[in-house]
Order: sequence, then C-alpha cells, then structure tokens
Amino acid sequence: MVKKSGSSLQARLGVVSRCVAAIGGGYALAALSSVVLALTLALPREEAVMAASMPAFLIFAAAVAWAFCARTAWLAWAGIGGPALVLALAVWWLKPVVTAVAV
Amino acid sequence: MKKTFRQSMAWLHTWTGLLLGWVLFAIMVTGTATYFRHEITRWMQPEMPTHAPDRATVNAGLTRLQEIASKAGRWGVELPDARSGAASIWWQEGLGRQGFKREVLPALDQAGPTPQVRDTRGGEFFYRFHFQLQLPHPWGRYLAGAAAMFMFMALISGIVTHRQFFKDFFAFRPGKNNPRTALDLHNVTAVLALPFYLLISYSALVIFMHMYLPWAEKVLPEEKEAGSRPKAAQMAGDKASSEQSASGVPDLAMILRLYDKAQSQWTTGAGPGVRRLEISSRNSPEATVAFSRFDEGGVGMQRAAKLEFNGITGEAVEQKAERKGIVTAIHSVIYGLHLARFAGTGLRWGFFFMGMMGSVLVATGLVLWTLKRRNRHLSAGRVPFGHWLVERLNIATITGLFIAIGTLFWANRLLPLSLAGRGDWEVDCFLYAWGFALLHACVRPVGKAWREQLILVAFLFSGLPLLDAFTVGTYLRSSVRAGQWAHEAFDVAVLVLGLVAWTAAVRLAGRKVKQSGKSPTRPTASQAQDEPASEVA
Repeated sequence: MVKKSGSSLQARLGVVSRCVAAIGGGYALAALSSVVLALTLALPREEAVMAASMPAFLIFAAAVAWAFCARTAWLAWAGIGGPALVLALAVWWLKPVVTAVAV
Repeated sequence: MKKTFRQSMAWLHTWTGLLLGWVLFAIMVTGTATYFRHEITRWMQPEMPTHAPDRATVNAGLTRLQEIASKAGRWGVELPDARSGAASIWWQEGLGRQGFKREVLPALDQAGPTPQVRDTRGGEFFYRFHFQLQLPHPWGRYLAGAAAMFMFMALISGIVTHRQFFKDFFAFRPGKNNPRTALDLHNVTAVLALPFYLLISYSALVIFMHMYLPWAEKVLPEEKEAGSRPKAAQMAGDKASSEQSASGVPDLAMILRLYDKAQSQWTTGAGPGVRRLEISSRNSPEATVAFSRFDEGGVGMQRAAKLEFNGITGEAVEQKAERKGIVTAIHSVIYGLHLARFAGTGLRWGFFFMGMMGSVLVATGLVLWTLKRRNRHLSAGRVPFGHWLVERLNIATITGLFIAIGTLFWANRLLPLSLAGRGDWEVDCFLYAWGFALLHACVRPVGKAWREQLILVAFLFSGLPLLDAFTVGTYLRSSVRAGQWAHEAFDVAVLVLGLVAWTAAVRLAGRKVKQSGKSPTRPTASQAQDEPASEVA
C-alpha cells in the first residue's frame, strides 16, 4: 500500500491479514476482556456486566490501532492473539470457580 | 505497516472514515434531527390537539378508555410534556404486541368533531432510522454499531493524524480551491466539537452493548431473586384474568382519587407531577394502579419515580428500593448524555448544531478522499472504478439524503389524508427519492450531479414553509396564537437549510468556471506535512 510496493501481492495480503486481526482478533480480545472482568469483579451481576463491557470498547479500539501500527503483520497478530490467549486461559480457569461459588 | 505511528494512523483514518462513512453520515443527520423529534412530529401532525397534564385530561382519557376498551387487561394514560403537546391513551387486550393499541386523545375544549390526525411516523421515523436504518431487526442495529465503532476509530486516528488541526484552527481559507476549503471545514468542525463526537460514538456503543458484547452477561451465573415474577408469566396472568368476570375492575372515581394523591405527593415544592398512569390486571383481584413521574431533570437515565396502589382497595403497594452503585450511575450518565433528554431549548439547539457539524465533518471527509485523488487520476488519464463509485456514493448520500428528507416532508403535506397506510407511503417516498438520487448521481457528470442535486435540495427545503402555509395555514395561525413556536421554528430551520444549499450550488457553479484550464494545484509543503494520508493510495 506504500507507493513503492503499492500493488505487490504480499503487501495486499499483509493489509488483509491486519484487517482480520483488527476486526476479528480485536473483537475477540474485547469480548474475552469483558468476560474476565465480569468474572473477577465483586459486584452485583448487572453492575459487573456493565463495568466489564464498557471498557471493552476501548480495548477493541486499542487492538485495532495496534493491528495497523505494528511493524509486521505477524507482530500485529502476536500483539492481539497473545493477550487473547492469556484471557481465554483465565476464562477457562475462572468460570468453574465463579459458577461453583454462585451455586 | 507504515514508517511511523502517525502514518499508520493516517491510513487508518482514511479507511475507517471512508468505508462506513456513508452510513455514518445518514446516522449523524437523522440523529441530529432526532434532537427535535417531538417538534418534528408536531409539524408533521398539525391537527394534533394540545392538552394540559392535569386531572381533566386524565379524566377524559379514562372515560374514553371506558368507552372503547372496557374489556382490556391493561390501560394507560400518558400526559404530555411541553414538547409533545398531546396526551395519548393505550390499552392492551390479550398477549404480545398485537393486542396493543394507542390513540391520541381528542381535544377537550373543542366542540364538534375533531379533525382527523394524519397518519405519519413523524419524528419517530428519524429516531428509528438513526439506529435501525430501515433494515430488518437486528441487522440495522449491528450496522449502526459497526458505524459507531468505525467512527470511534476514525476519531482516535484522526486526532493523531491531524494534530496540526489544533494549531490551524483559525486558518479558514474559503473558496480558493476545493481541497483547502473542504480541509478547513473538516478542521473547524472537528476541533469545535471533538468531545461531542467522542462521546456520541462511545455512548452509542454503550447503549447497545448488551447486543454488541453480550458475552459477560452470558457467562455470569443468574442471580437468584425471590419473589420476582417473570414478565411472560405476568402477561399470561393478564390474559387469564381478562377472561374472568369483571368483578374487580377499579372504578374511575377511585383512580382519580389515587391520581390526586400521587399528584399532591409529587408536586409539593413545585416539582413535576404525574406523567403516566397504568392500570394492570384490570379484571382480576390483583389489579394495580401505578403512576410514574415526569423526569426530574438529571443527566443520567433514571427510572422515573413510581407510586403503585392496589386497584381494589386503593392501598399503597410498597416499592422495592432500587440498588444503585457507582457503575450504574456512570452507565446511566453515558446513556443519558447520548439521548440528551435533559436538555432544555437552548442546550438542545447546541446539541443540534454539534450534530450538524458532525454531519459536515463526515461529509467533508468523504469529499476530501475524492479531491485528494482526483487530480492524480485525471493526470493518469484513467479514473478507476473505486474512485468513480466513491464520487457517486458521496453525491447520493450527502445531497441524496437531504432530497429524501425533503421529499418525506413534502409527502407529509401532499398525500391525501384518507390514503390507507399513509405513514408507510411517506417512508416509501423517502426511499424512492433516495433511490432516484443514487440513479441520478450515477448517470450525470460529477460536477453537474452535485449542482443539480443541491438545487433540488434548495427547492425542496426552502419551498417547505410556503407549502406549509398553503396546506395547513389555519393550524399555523392557531399555534402562533397559542404561543407554540415549534412549528415556526421548523419552518425557519428548513428555510435556512434550503438557503445553505442554494449558496453551495451557486458557489460550486462559480468555481467550475474559475478552475477550468488551470493546472491541478500541487499540495504545499505545509499541507503535505499536514496530510500524510495523501501519500496513501
């Protein structure tokens, strides 16, 4: 997309890959962050949901920005996929605990 | 991806701004109109009577309900505020939305038959379009959410890209050449109301976050609460009870007595009184009469204060105290700021102007995209399809939307009152007019298409006050006598919009002559520095 490499296939694929990382990866990261936050906040249910979801949009925005400013498309994916993986593990570990406490 | 952070943000600004820019423009314009949705409804229904929010109106509403819906399980009376003007009644027979009916109360002080109030969506059309875009549920809301997220991204990346804007704020260079004027307008509107844009896009996401991010809610276990009856069961109960004998119907005299009680409890200290009353499970021993109060003027969205009484004995039913934490408070303020229900006339106009500036911001951004690339394509001798498409969609969206809105208002005055499905016809006229604008934009040369559509917008909008005077002049005079200026304010506002369109059409015509034969202007050094996006294809 930069002048010199404007039409090269690799550059185009890089942009497509970043777009997927930004929209798909960014959304997944935001969703996971809201779930982890909701599971960890000691608030009444309705408030926990709100408190967890409101900042998630900012995380989404940050992920999108990262997807396009990272030096390479691989780095873009790593910067989003890494934290997402950590959060997914946290959900996997937290969910049974929280459900058990509630029951 | 680019060499610097700023360059990559410029790229992001360009493309997030463009891709859903047309949707965003339509959302911004209809949202801006929504600030005055009650006033627009009143203009579109000039026959609508006005009522005072008092006992006589409640009495008339209940009497009317008794006449037409004595069997219904639920009744409601809604009293008007200063903006909406008319009181309405509603009732529900059976389950779900099918059994739900609403009616505007006829005028109280008028002898003889009341004029038929024309069927129209009124200002509600703009309100609904603003977040549903006439698309089937839930896709309109998802598209609107995507547009809000794109806007939020475009704003953040725009701040990084256009830091220069804050310095260049006072440099308005009208009419010298196209990109400069558009850029300066983009600059001025961006800087003037930046916090408003950030707020409006973020709060849009927060309002529908249960749709956009339902995951936290899904994963948390339900809280067990004793005594709360699910809504469906409650409705089913209403249905069952409506089939019973009418032994337990609350009588009108008692409801009025309860109204007096609620009204006097709330109006001590000149506070706002009863806004709504609702009678549920009318034909059963569980009948209740509930009153809710007018908004008390806070910014946040709060549940209106409520008083509930047993419908048979008239005893007060205790209300559960609501838990309210800091998070709920923050959420309700973000939500409330978007809807701006708290805003009085002055502030409401302020929001309206910020909404207009936001529309100009989006429009100039879209136009800049084409202006920056145009000369390059012209000197290369070939205009790519993508560029052609963006140019046409810009015209069809920016002027086309106003043609559609203008047509909607004209249809409101010209369609016969007796037409079946009149409200839907108005919306169809809006959509056909928009489709026509798209077609017109595709077949005409760019410059001519802009000018012709601007002239049509100017004609439609500046002609509206005249049309209004000819078609509903009598109502106009009576509303002036009653000191209600919303109708006149509407006429003046559309006239001003029409004149703006005239001016734009005239300026565009003048520019065309001046520019022909000139070599394409090269971006100056400062502009190139200002706009790293210009090196992006």
